[in-house]
Amino acid sequence: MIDVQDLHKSFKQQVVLDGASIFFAEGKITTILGGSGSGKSVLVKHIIGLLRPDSGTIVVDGQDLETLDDRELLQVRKKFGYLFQDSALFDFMNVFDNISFPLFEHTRLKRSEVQHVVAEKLRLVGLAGIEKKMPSELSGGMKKRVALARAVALDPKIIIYDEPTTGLDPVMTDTVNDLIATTQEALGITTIVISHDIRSSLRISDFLGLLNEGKIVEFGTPEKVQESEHPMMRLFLAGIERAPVSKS
Amino acid sequence: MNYLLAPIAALGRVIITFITETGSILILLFLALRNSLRRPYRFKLILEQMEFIGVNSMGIITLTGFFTGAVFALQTGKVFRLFNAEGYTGMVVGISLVRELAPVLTSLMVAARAGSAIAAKLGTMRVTHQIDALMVMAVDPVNYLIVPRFIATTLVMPVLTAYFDFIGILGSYVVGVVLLGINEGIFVYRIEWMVDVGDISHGLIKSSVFGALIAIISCHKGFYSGGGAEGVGRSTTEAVVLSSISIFVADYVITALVI
Repeated sequence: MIDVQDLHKSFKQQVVLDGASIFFAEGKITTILGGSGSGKSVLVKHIIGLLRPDSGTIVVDGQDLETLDDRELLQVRKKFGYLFQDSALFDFMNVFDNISFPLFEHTRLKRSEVQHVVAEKLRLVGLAGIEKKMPSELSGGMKKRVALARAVALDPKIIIYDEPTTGLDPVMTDTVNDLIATTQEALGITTIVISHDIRSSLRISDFLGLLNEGKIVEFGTPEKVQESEHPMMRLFLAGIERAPVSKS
Repeated sequence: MNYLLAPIAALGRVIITFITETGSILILLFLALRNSLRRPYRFKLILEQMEFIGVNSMGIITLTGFFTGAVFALQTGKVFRLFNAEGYTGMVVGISLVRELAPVLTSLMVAARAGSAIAAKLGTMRVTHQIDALMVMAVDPVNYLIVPRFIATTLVMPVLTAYFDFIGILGSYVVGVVLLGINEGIFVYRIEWMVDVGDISHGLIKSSVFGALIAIISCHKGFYSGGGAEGVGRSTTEAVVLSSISIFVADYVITALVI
């Protein structure tokens, strides 16, 4: 589905990705684990075509992103839904306008049909009937769920969750994890999760990849990565996320 | 040695920043112009922006225009009276308003009110990832955010300037005719005699250029904002300052080219 090979990316002198390779299987949940500043978001921005790599290839659904111009990249992005860490709802639009935004932009649905789709997506995330509320009236967890409804409005083939459980309390963390799993089951879409929450990742993922020093250093099923001897993975598994002081 | 080189290095940094910033604004201008011709055409957003930038600025333009005309008439009328030439007051106020004062003051008001709002809104959208959200939803943010503001500001500025002309002349009429007692016929006739369509269109065309400058500078400052709330505040201030300076520079350049 998505094949990333030998990806390199630097910003000025700082090397962020240094030969990262990973495969995201169709219809599965794959989590990219990594400490803060390890380059997880940079990797995902390449996959969605927001950043161009210095070298390496990214093939999405059979299309090599490197060969596409900006307009063709926009078409590729329609295959994606993206849930931002801070939800990134348009604060000047109500819930209905937020969720219907991609539908009015990219489909020719009538308003009544759009209303039906919005209501259906809100039901999916357990928030039926809040179309008229403004984002400022919603709690953090509700915003996240509305953002998820927006992300799946166009029935994307792939959905990306950027740190979906960061900053949430344990109850809401479980709710969001359930939501990721049920959304994947209900829609059967390829799911990419960026996270440093090992507990949630082990619970919901079909595959896990550990990004460390610009490379995917571990990849496999939750059972397999739990047996990993990689020092960073051991730190994660011990529940201690601690960025190394130096490369040595 | 270092303290000798420091001023040169500082000057170099200023020059590099100036060139980088100008280049970046010109690239955004190019993208805005290119996207203006590309689908989707966002008429509804353009109208919304015209309402925000134009209609909602009418109040401040009314006040500024009226008192500018009034105070200008007061000053010139008093001086001209020394030479028994107060009949020329309307003429001087009229020509100054339509050629210079109206386009410049209207633009400064719009830069302060709408330019700052544009920079603040786009800056907030940037730091809260709403612009990224547009991009991942396959919506070109230049097409959605910048083109409507650019077109709207460029189109409404001449209308606001014409309104400023009218209100300014009205203000000067009130002071000149009602307060200073200048003959009404002479006051109006001199304006008609001096101010022609060429003068008015000169002011209106200038204001359209100023509108384009305000829009692209404010959009640029907001669109490339960063650094959280402090960064948005800085961008907003820079948008108003840079827009105001560019209005004065452009005013001189256009006037020098036309005269």
